[in-house]
Amino acid sequence: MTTIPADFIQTSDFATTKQDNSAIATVLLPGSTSVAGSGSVEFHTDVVIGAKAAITRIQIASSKYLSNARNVCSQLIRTYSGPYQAAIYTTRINATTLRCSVFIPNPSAVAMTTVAGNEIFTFYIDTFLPPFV
Amino acid sequence: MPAILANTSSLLLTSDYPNDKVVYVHDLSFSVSAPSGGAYQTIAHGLPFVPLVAGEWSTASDFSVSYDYFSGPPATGSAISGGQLFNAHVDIYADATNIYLYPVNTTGSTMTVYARIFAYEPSDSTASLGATSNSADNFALNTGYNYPKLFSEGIISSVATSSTYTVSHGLGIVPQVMVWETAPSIISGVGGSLRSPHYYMTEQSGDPYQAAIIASTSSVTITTGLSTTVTRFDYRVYCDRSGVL
Repeated sequence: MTTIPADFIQTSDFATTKQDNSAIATVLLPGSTSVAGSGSVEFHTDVVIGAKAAITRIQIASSKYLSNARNVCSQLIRTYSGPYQAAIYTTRINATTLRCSVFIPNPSAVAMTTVAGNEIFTFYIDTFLPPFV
Repeated sequence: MPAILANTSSLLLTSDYPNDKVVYVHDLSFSVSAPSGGAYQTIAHGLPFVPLVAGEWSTASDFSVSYDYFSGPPATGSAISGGQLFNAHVDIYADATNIYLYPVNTTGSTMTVYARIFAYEPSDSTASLGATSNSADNFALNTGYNYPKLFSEGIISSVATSSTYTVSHGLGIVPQVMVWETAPSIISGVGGSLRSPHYYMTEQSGDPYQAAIIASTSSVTITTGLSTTVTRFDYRVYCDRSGVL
């Protein structure tokens, strides 16, 4: 953040949030994915975004569903047949890197194969400096 | 002359739409044993309404790595095999009196949580509130940043199960959206209803855990599930594009 006075155009009695960055990231879930019994697989894309201590607003879209619309959430649980679920979610792994992940645990002792066809998850990310930064 | 709505998301500020007004700011730290055993922090907020809470937490006092609420450091080791997404997370809720921080610690060791909390005012509030700025330099508006412009805000109350509620915006872009849910308390020892940010949903083949919130170029739709316990949604829709600054 600049501290040059000429850059400031207003001040406020109330704090606000300042958007410092945005990005779009994709994670591919291959249709051929196999998960060993009692195992798990994870696919991710790391995005360098936002200043240290920035907070996020996330929307997630799937190539298989809702192609023109987005889920307003940071944790999306996709239910497949049987006990299988995929978690599509984000988390910080260091000060400025956000990890966009697709995680599929296999609670069964039997290996599983995901549904046919690739699925691409698109993460729409906006980062903000909260009123502490 | 009003701003050209189609271009509003390209503006840092416009006087046609308000910016977010933070009406509550607080930070604290506390220790969390492992396992956390249901212990939680209670912070009296002193506001005349149930606030729309937000913020972040960290295990480092300088917030060198920080997490949104309901999120945390990625799962490792046995946490992965247990199907967990995070080694630890801190959840946030509010009622008319308090803000609650509910930590879950499966790291295997005691951790110190540094928490930052801020809050917005719900759209049905008519309260007169004191300033949250204690230093003008802290909250100066700066052209180096975008300030999301609030297009509409509102409340959906008397929420029913298996229902769909539509908030039309007609912006022609997929806007940034924030939603809070009010539902019966899930914290042992805290009664009544609690309000929390919406962060989690199931999709398509699964019945929504609480609600599926879908943003499109024309509207925001909220679809509740068969067993939804939410009684009220507070929403904020912005003129600004999601994922594109």
